[in-house]
Amino acid sequence: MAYAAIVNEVIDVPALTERVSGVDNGAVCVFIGQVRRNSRGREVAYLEYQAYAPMAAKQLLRIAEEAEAKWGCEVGVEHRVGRMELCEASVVVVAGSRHRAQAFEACRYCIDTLKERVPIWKKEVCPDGSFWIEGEEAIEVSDVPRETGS
Amino acid sequence: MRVTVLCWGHLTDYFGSDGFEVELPEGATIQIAVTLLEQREPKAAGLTRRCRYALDEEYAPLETPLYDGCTVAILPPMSGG
Repeated sequence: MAYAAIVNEVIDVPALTERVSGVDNGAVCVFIGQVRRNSRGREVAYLEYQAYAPMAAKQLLRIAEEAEAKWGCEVGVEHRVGRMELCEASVVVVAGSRHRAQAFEACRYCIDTLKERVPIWKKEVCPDGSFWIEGEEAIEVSDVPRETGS
Repeated sequence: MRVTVLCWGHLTDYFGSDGFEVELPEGATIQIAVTLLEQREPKAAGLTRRCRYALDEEYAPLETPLYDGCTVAILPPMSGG
């Protein structure tokens, strides 16, 4: 059965993998998205992920269910939110299937679709400023007072 | 009617991340709520046009009618992963 969650703590990759490692599966594919040091030519100190958690969890689960139905496999996904240091995992997708092709495809589908559809946003904190990443755009974090315009 | 508005991504710099309530006329749509936000913060005007929208945690188009007690979310382009 598909599993998906938005978590605040370090993702437990072995525990997640265990969910799709039943005796009927000959292949288990694990995708880990982790915090990279460079982004768009800037050095990254750390990342902060923000999620519209209830909606994000629903969307993640739907994606995992779609992958299970399409490739006849078992899928688990966890996305972490909050502050993450370099090399820490922000997202982990696991897929288990009888043969490897289905697990690879399901994994790829989940991570690609997640980026389009799951309401999660990343802020890159760099030595020279902080930036919201929105699609292809990096928007410098603004400190404007909220009462502006009211 | 009272509607809760949630903003995300860079919009939280303008509107905060906790959400807030607005009073809207009966028959108002997501578009009306978005226009209200743009009036509140002119810097957000061009930006909300590239957003997607959700009503009660499900994607919904701008013309979706709202109802008392509902929650509208303004979702800028996403960057999960």
